Amino acid sequence: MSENISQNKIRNFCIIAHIDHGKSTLADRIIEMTGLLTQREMQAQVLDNMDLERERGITIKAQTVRTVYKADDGEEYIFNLIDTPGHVDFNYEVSRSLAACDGAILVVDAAQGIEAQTLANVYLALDHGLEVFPVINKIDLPSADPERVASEIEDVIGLEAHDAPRISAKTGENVHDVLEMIVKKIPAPAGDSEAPLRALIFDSVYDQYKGVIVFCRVKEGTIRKGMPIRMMATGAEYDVVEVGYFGAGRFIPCDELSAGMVGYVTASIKNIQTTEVGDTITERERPAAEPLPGYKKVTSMVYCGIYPADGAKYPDLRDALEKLKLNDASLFYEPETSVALGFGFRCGFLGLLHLDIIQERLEREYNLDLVTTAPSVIYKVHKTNGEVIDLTNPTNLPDPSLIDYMEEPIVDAEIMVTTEFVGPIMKLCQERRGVYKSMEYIEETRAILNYELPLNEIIYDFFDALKSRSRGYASFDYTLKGYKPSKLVKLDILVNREEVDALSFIVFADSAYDRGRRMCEKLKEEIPRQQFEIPIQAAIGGKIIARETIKALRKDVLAKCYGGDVSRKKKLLEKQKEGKKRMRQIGNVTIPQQAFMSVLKLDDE
Amino acid sequence: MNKDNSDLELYIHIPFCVKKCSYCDFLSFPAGAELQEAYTEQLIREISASSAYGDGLRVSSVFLGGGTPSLLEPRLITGIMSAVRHSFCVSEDAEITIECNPGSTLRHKFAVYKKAGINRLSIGLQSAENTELRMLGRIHSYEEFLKCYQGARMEGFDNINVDLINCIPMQTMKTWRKTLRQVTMLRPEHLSVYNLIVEEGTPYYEMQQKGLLMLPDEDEQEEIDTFTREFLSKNGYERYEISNYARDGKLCRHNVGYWTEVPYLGFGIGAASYYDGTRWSNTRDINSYLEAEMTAPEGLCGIRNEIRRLTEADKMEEFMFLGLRMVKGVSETEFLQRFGRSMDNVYGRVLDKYVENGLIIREGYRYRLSERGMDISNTVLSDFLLDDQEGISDGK
Repeated sequence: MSENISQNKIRNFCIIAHIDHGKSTLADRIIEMTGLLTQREMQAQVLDNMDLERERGITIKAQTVRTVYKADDGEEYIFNLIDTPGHVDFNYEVSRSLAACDGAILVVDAAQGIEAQTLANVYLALDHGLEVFPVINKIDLPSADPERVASEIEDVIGLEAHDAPRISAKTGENVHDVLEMIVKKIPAPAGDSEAPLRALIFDSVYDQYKGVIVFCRVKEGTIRKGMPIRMMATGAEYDVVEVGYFGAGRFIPCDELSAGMVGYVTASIKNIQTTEVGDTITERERPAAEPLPGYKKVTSMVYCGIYPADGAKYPDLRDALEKLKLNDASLFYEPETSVALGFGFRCGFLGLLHLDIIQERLEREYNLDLVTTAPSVIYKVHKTNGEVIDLTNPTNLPDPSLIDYMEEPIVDAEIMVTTEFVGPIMKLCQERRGVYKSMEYIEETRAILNYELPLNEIIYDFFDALKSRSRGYASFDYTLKGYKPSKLVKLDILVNREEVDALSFIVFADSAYDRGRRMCEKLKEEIPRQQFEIPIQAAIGGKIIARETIKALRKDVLAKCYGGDVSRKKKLLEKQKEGKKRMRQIGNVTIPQQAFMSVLKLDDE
Repeated sequence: MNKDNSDLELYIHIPFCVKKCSYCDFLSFPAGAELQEAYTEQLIREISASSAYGDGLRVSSVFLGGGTPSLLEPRLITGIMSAVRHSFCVSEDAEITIECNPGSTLRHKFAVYKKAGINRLSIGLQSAENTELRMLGRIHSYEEFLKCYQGARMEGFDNINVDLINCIPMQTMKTWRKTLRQVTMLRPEHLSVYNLIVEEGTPYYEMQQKGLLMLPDEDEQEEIDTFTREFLSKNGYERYEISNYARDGKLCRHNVGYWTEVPYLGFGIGAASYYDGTRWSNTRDINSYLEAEMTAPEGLCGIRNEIRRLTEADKMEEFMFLGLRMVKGVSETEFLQRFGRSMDNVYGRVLDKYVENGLIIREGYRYRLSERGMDISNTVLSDFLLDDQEGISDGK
């Protein structure tokens, strides 16, 4: 099938929204109303196709779908809807997805208004030269105030909003207006399809038969079946096996993709590492002079140790990570060993959400029981001999006598909050060693706080603390700024007088005492009582700074043996034994998995 | 105890109750006279069809448990007992127990029981405090129990067990002390003292989930347990198993049989059996039980679930976790005789660990739980399960 669609009948766009403002629902509605699927064929929220995404209401991987819309002007238009990840962890992915679009729909909740993330993503879209038009969603809510939200959009972002469609993606009300706006407001793609090929990679997935399936937007030139290609950044070369576009939930092959089109390419690519998001595909015989702008290598921001709860499952964990990595180029892992936990992996993530997602996918999709250690950022350790180490695992911290000084990563944080909570949030930032930069009022009742914060203060529970101290109203976004020297120490935890390496973490020296105390308290809650008394201690360089005691178990009896039902009794004992298995044996003490994440939950309020 | 390897025990399950108690998760329910009759007839058929199991064995104990077996019309009990004697060779000195709940008509049934050869009663008193009885959902009062107890003595029953339950709602040290004092004054031969365990699916569980179940706290529970041990010992009751006490050597032979791997056959719904190295349970569904054709062996096998032929490892595990429930514990010599391997060879590491931390005591060639070990027996006993077990044969 040949694709001779004129560029002016194509619309490449994405939807920008804060979590829960209804991005996926609107996407579903658009797909449904453009007649690609009948309502019955549609599973709710076609685009979020991982279980996890549907459950959490967030998009993790970019999803793309092509539909055909017969507009009021009688013409048929091709819509390429590129759904982008919506979280700060995936900022780079977002920016690449945006670069594949020509316009964006901004969805704002008619009750909640603009959030920090919305703002960040709108600016990102405008930076990429995208045409952005707003849509006010959830007008069916009793608390909806579309007029207020419209003026907020005009005041804060500076987008014309008085004619913004007021819709309910849930009921479908006024969604037709959105479709018409897409045709009218979003520019058709430009680009010379005869020029040397330049196609932007904005995502890829792994298929066991086809190899890596690269999602791309052709900016210039044409990509065809059989064409020899080169990835401009990684230098990898392949011959195109198949090109095509995206049906709902399936790939539809075609002969070529020309400038302005969005689609996929397969080329028997076995290694996803060679198809990095942001890279440019060009033709080997007639390469473009310059790659498309904006490529950067993704780097992990947060590291943690992942271990199988049952040591014998190590090979399964390795296989699972290998498979996940095929679909997620930003996941990093390498083998490591812990005295407490045995063989496992040190894994690198884009952020805490990314970590969370990988952990959950390993557990759900690969049926693994995991022990995850406290996340750590990358510290730069300057040794007295001039050597600089990038420290990702606290256990590897050199002896303090060999350390000249240490640096920690700092981020620029932007927190949007209603004015009544400015106080508590400023206090929170202060507690987290934030340096106040500025505050702007975006309207009478809302302000943006700018702080410089150490990354290690926000990877733990900052987001939860922010939510709880603003009754859910604050939202936040950050970008890495650089490194700063800092007074840091390693806090060790001793359980029953044995140091548990997997519980060590790096902490700002002045907070060490407090963190140590709270860590001991938390572990006391998490570790079940056992046959004997267990002291929990926090120590810095061998000096004990805090202690708690877990009292011995006092009673655990199975009383009645009903009618000689020994099998039932045995089942109960087996259950108990299984329970013990799911915990980690450290010396004589069994520690449940979640205890290793305790450090994440130390916020006081 | 039951070293005679021609012993066989019989358990007969009567699943009927006047009303289900709030803490009970046993297989029991109220039923009308018609169902009771039909069930008994089917029981008798099951017993008769099973007679071949008794070849070469002598029945050393029969236990009619429930539910409330005393709820049945006495003639039905007579019928069951004559079926037992007809189908099995019952020892002259066999222990034959029936579980009873106090009630207005109970006293009048004792004579029939006596005549049917029943020589031991197990009475479910639970508490001597009427408010506590009400909280437990029991339908009798302490006064009713007293009348029944006296009636039983008058009828000549000289081996009586009383069931008590502690750590229950409303209970305090004071009320528990009173219960124990009153009950021991009656000098029953045997006492079973259970801690309340809140089981899923019971009204108590629902209440606990809602935070409505006020139980004695841990300190009080410990006080109650310690007091129980000391008080009963002072009054001549020897603790011989985690929850069982006897005076003058009147241990419950039937229960001891369970702990020491004497073969037993269970009749009726949900009843468990252990025979020829195999464990099974009957169906828990009353209708499938009533509809079953009681023929040996096909019909009988048709109502059995969870049939499991014990492996050598299973037997070793059971030897340990059942044997250690007994106060006298397990014998190394017996283990060696039975399995041809030393206990040390199989369990050396676990035993050393627990002897070291005082939860298990070694005396000569025996190991037994210490008092503290009994208090937390679950966590200790679960360590005697061996790894890599085969599954149950029905694929579960």
